[in-house]
Amino acid sequence: MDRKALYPFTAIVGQENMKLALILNIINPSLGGVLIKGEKGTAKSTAVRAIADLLPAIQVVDGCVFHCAPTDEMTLCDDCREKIALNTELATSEFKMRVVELPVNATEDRVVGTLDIEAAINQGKRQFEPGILAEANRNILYVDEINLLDDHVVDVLLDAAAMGINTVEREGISYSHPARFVLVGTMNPEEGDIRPQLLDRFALSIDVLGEKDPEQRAEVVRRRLAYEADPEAFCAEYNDEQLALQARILKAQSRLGEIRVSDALLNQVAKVAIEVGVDGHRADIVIIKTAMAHAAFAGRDEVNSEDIKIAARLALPHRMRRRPFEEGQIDWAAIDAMLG
Amino acid sequence: MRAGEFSFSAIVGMERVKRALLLQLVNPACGGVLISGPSGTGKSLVVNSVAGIAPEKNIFKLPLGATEDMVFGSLDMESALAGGNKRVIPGLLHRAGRSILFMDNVNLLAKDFVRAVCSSYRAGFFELQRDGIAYRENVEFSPVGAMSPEEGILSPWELDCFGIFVTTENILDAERRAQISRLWLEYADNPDGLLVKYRSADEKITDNIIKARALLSEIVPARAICLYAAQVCAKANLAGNIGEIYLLEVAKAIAALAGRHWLMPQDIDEAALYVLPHRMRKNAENQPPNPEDDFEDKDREHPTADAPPESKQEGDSQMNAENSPMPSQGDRCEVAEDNSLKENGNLDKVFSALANVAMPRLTIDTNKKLVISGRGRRLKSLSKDKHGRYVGYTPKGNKPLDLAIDATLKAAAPYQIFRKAQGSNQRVIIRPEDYQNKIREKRSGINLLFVVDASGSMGARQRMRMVKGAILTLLMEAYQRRDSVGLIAFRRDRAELLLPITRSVELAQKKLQELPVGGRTPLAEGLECALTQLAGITSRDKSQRNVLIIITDGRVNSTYKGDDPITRAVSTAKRLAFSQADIVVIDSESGFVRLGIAKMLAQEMGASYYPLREVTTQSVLRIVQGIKQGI
Repeated sequence: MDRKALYPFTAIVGQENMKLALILNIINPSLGGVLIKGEKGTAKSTAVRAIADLLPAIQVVDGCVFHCAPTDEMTLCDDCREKIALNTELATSEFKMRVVELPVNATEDRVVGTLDIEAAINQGKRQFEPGILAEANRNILYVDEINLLDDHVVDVLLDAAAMGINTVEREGISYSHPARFVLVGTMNPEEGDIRPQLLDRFALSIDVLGEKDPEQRAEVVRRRLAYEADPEAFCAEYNDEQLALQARILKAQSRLGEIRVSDALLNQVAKVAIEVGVDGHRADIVIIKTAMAHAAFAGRDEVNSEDIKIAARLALPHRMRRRPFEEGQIDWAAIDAMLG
Repeated sequence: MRAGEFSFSAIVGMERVKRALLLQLVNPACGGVLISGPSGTGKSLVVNSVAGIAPEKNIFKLPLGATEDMVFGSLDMESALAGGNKRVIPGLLHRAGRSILFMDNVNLLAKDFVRAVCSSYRAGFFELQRDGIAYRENVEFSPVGAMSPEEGILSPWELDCFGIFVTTENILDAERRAQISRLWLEYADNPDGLLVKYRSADEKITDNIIKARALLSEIVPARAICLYAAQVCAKANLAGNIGEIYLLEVAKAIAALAGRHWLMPQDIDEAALYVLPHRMRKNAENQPPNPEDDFEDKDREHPTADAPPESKQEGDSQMNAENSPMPSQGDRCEVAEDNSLKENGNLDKVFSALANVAMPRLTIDTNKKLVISGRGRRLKSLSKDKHGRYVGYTPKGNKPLDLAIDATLKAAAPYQIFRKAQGSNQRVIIRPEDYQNKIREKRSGINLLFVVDASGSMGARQRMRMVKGAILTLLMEAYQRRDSVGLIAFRRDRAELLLPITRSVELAQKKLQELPVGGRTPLAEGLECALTQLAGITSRDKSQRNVLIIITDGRVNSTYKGDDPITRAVSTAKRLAFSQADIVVIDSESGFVRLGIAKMLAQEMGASYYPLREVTTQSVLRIVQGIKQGI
């Protein structure tokens, strides 16, 4: 297949927060995704595609539409489970993580999956046609301008994201399948707000701004032009950096199970969450998960307060309540003091 | 699917919720459980974990995207097309068997689902006539709903459908929160390990449920207990008798779990905590709405201080009071009717405990958050365009405008034999008379367009600031109602669209940073600008409701074109009267000599008219709330 080489992740200038948030989500795909707020033209979708491209292929059950992981029995789809029950060996194949896009005008039936019309009309059969959520399993689900999504589509997205399962009860089809994905949403806050429930589902959020420094801006353009001129050569230039980052991420992934968090830190996180007044426990858990991924990425086995501080900055801002005449600012100095 | 399983016994806290679910599992006649609480407090987690302890070892989920044929059952298209057989595919309600039917985000479910599900639960069956078949299904499922009230609450009727109501709350104790995090870490590390660790505890619970179920049929409430239950309900001012019935059923489950085959007054006392919270409120709601409520009833320190004396009924004052007052003499007499009960039952304790159960409208902590009363129900309307959730289908209109394929195939199925006999070799023959179109439903908001006088007349600056406050507040709650807000200000010689109709708080904050005031009062231009905006909105989406809120003192003294300003304002007002918008005029005219122009214009526009000497954020909000409720 003649496919243009993707812009390399390591060639993206600046946007350190966005890059970090994406990397942490890749190290631990169950982290819960990231919401990227900012205007157009800030390399959001480039970065998302690039991070998926950075990783080596994963093992999937051959022919499974949900790309089930053969080694993880907990998350298998019904078909694969059945095969195991019948003692059939699950054939595996290699699969490269993809960015599955959920367009703003997507209809609900396309998102959750629906009756397979062709089978219905040609054979009179009732058959499930997988939707975007099926495709997104074990991939990145990318929703550009998520704040403009129809309410009922957001509802089904929330339903699936909450439990990692998509339950379909529509148009004669009763089916459920795994839907575990890294949810990446982008929005321009000036074009309308996002429901707090959906906001809360995003583990992390970051604000991206256009690069202000003229030098940096020039560098962005220079690299872009070089890439457009000769993608292959441009990518070759970044090959070493790409491989180094890939190795670091893979190492962090394998280290993740070993990471320890002290009880004292758990307590501090709880105190911070109470202090800023967030709803529920997602904030606590997300901060800890993020800090763990961050520690793994830094090559440590133990979470320290620096990890927690960085995690809090990524996990708290969008969980704050806003009130009229207030910007919902967090007093970071106070929080840092609490975290020691 | 097995994913997402968690051990019921491992869950930290949420004792009430866990207890409620146990009671429902023991006695399916308890009426179902509704769990309300902020997002992320573990509602879904605890319900999903029930699959591990329920004797049925399963729960069924009613997903938000479900269509009605799958909930209630429908003709099996497959066999109908194959052999023209009329076979029914059972709906979720039937497939669930005796299991729990879990409606997560029950407040976001399609319009009539909650009602239909709860009614069929109560009746034990449902009847349906559709797809050319009539059938009756017996159902035994237990409904369990979970909701986060900030997304909108259920109507009193829907609340009443549930026998049991419990809330989850944010845990404010760092130690316990850390414990939850620790548990989560343990689970993430080794999910199966956690299940194994708590398996024996879970199994014990299952045993208890099975034993309690066996006891249940032996429990017959004594007359005195029934009387006591009736007293409790009377004191809570419940309408109808469904409260007593649920009270007794829950009490039976409590006794059965305790291994008893008789009821004690304490069982009723405990049951009241689950059965009454969402029912008592009805009494308060029947009273004429008092706009002050929206703001002042959250003031927990003085809940009853400024209530009019006639509303201070016995039950009421106790329900509302956080620091429950001492019971009056009358209550004691009532209970004293039965001596044995006086010893054991403790009504007062029950009611003071009840006062501490947070109702949906109160679960919002007003110290930190500003949210206007839970009365704001979601507007859901049947959508006429192709947007919205597909909830059902209709044969109306023989044109395939928004074709429901499954339904169309079902409609075509019975005729296949005849049609094929006519010599076509197509697999499935569909004719226009088979066409079924989708019925869609969407949540629709209101567009609120403010037209405000920013001219030099007195208090313009203050007025603008107050309006800004109202706009921002409205936007912050807009995610619940899907409302949009815009602002037109008129001053000097023209009207200016300061904030285009938007749902964005950030945009409003940015656009309304500076509020220019001063100059003359070109009211006609303001109205003209409003007309243009309304026309724009309507051309984009006809299904939207528009509300125009005009705030002025009516002292018109300028017009761009130089003709008589008042005549021009009147003629624009007359045109506005023909728009589909609801119009409100807030008249801020004050002083000894009043010209009454705003009032006259309001009459011309067929608008509601509110004279308001002082325009404050709260007074504006109160008026807007009133209007929104009327729509």
